[in-house]
Amino acid sequence: MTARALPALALLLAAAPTPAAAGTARYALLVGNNRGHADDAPLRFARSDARRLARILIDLGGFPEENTVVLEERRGEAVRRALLSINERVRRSVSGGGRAMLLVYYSGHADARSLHLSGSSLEIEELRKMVAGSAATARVLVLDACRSGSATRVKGGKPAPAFAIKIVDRLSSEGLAVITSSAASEDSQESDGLRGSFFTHYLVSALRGAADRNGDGQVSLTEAYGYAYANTLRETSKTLAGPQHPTYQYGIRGKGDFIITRTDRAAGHGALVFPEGGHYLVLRDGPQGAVVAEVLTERRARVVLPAGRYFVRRRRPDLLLEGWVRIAAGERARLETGAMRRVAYAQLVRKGASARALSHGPQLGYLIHGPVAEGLGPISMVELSYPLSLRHLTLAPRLAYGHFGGDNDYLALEQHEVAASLGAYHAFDLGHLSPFVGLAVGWTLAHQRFESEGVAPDRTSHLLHIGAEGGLDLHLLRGLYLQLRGAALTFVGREPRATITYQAAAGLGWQIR
Amino acid sequence: MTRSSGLGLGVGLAALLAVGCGDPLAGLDYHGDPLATVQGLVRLGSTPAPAHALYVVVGWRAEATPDFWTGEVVNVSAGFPASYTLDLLRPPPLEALSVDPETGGRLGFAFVALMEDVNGNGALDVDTSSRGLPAGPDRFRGGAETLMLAYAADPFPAQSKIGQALGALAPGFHLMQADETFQCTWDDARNDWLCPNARTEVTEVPFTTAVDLKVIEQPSEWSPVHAPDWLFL
Repeated sequence: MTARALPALALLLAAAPTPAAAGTARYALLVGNNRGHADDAPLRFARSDARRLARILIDLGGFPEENTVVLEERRGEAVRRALLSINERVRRSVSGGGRAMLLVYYSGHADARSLHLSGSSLEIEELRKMVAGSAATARVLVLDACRSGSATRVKGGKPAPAFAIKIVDRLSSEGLAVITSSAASEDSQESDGLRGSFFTHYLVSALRGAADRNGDGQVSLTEAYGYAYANTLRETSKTLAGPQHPTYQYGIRGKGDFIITRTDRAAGHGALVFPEGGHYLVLRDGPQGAVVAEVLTERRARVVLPAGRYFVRRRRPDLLLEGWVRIAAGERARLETGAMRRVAYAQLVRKGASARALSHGPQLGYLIHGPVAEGLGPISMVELSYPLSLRHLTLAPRLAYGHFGGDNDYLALEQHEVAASLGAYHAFDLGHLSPFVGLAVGWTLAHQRFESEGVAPDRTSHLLHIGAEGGLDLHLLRGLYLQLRGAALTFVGREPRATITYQAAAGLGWQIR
Repeated sequence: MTRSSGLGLGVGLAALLAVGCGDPLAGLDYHGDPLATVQGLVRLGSTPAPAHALYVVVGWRAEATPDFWTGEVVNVSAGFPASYTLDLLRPPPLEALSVDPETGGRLGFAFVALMEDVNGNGALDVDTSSRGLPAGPDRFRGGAETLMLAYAADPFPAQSKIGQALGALAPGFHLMQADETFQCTWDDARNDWLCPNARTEVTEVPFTTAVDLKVIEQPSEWSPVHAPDWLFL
C-alpha cells in the first residue's frame, strides 16, 4: 500500500509562509475509510472529509504537500507503517534542533478500543502512543469516528450501543492535543446536506477563518475546536441521533496554543468578508453545490477561499438571503448583504432553511372551470385560499363562489355555486419561480333556479371532484406572489355521474409568515 | 381504527351521502319537467316510408284563431313501426284555448300529428298564417285519428256543461278518446277537414294509453275525429 499525496496544487504554495513559528516543519497523516468492519454500514463522506481537511492544511496551514499523506480505504497495517514513516521523518527533522508539528486525523468507523479500517483494526491506544511518542514538538490527534454509519446519519436508523473513545491517561505529554468528534455514549454523524460529517465540516470552516475570533489572521487549535464544538452540537441536536459533543484534551503547558492555519497570506486564495454577524453558508457552484464553509458569527468575520465565484446563503429565523460573490486571489471581497435576494417564506420552509416548519398566508383569485353538465359553463368564480407550505408539501384549502346564467327555448337557468376544496402539491423552487404539481379534491354545492312556462323546480346538487393540478408561483416583493394554476378534474354527482373538465385560476397571494 | 382514519371515513361517507341526496344537476339540455307525456307507435300501414325525418308535433285547433302547431319535436327516424315519447313541457299559448261561456274557463284541444322535415332544418317549419292544413315547407304526414289532447287552463267541475260532457277536468293536460263514428273527411276546396255536424262523444283516458300515429301520403287518407268545439256554443 502506498501513501497517496495530494495534487501538485500545493506547489503553488511553496512560497507560502508556515503559520507556525518560523522553522517548524509540518507533517500530517489523514486517514479516511468509508468501509469499516463487515458489520459496519458504509459511510459516504469519510474519504472526502480527509481530502477536504488535507486541502485546507496544505492551502492555509503551511503543511507541505510532500509532508501531507492521505490514506483512503487502507487497512490498519498501512496506517501503522505510514505513521511510523512520518515519525521517522519528524525525528530526523528535529534532530538538528528544529521544531516540528504532527497532525493525525482519522475519519471512519471505530469502537471503544479500535479504529475499523477496511476489515482490519488499529488499537486507538496504539495510535495515541504513536502520536504521543512522536518527536514532534506539537502533536495533534483528531478522531472523527462514526461507528454505525447510516444508523446514525441524519436520515435516521437504529443507533448502535454507545461507546467511548478512551484516551487512557491524562495528557501528561507536553505538546499533545487530542480531539474527538463526540463524547462517550454518543455517535458521530454524517449529513447528506453537508456532504460530510458534522464535525469535520465545521472544523474545515473554522480553519478557513470562521473561527478566527480575535481577527489576528491565525486560527489556533483551540479556536478551531471551539467553533467546531459549538456548531456540531447545535446542528446535531436537531437530528434523530441526538446531540454530539466533541471533546478536546490537551497538554500544551508552556508552549502556547497550536496555530493550525493562517488566513492572511494564502496564495491563490482570497478572503470573503462578512460585514455583520449572522449565519452564512458558502457554496461552490451554486445553490445545490457543496458547502465549502459555514460561518456563524456575532460580529464581522471572514473566511479564506480559493479564488472563484461562490453562492452565499444567509440564514435568519424567518428570512433567507441569497446571492453570488466573486473572490479574486489576494483580495478581499465584501459580502453585500443588501444586494442579496430575499427568498420567499414558502421557499424558505421548503429549503429547510427556516426555524419554522410552516409558511402561510391568504390568496385571492379568479377561477374558471369548464362545463360540468351540458352547456353549463364555463363558470367564473372568486376564490379565497389559504395555502400552508410545509417542507415537502403545500396544502391549500380553498373556498370559491360563482354564478352562471343561461337559457334555451324552454327556460332560463340561474346557478349559484359554492365550492370547498383542498389542493395538495409539491413545489420546485427555481429562483423567483416555483412550479408545482399535485392533487385537488373538493365538494361543490350548486343551487339552480329556472324561469319556465312549464314546471322546473329549483335544484340543489352536490358534486365531488378530484383531479390533478399544476401551476406556477411567481414571487414578487415582500411575500407577495402571483399564482397561475390549471387542473383536470373529474366531477362526480348524482347526475351527471362523472364529468371531466378543466379548471384554470389566477390569484395573488401574500405569505404572512 | 385510528381516530384520524375514522374521521376521514366519516367525512367520506358524509360527502357520498350529500351527493346521493342532492338533486341531479341540470344542464342547458334540461327543458323542464314534463307536464304530461304522450307515447305510442308511428305506423306506416301501406304508405312508403317518408324520405325525410318525421316529427311528432301538437296542433292546437282554436275556433277563432289560426291553428297553433306547437309542442315538442320528437325525431322519429328508426324503423317502422317506431315508438315515440313526447314530453309536454309547457302549456299551449292562451290564444289556442277557447273560453267556456258558462264558467269562463279556458280549454283547448289538439291533435297529435306527424310532420315530415322536408327542408331538413331539424325543426318544425310550417306556415300557419291561414286556416286549414299548414303550408310547407315541412309536410303534414298524418297523426292520431281518435285520440286528442285537451288542456284546461282552469278547473271544470263535474256539474258544469263541459264537466258533464267530458267529466270533471283539473287544470293541465288530458288525453281524450273520441267516438270514431264522427270522423272528419278531407275537403280539397277548403284545404281542411270537413267534420259532420254532430256531437262527438269524448271521454278522458289515462296518459298510459298508447297514442299510435298513422303515416299518410295525402291528407285525404287521414280521418280525424271532430274536435268537440260544440262545447263552447
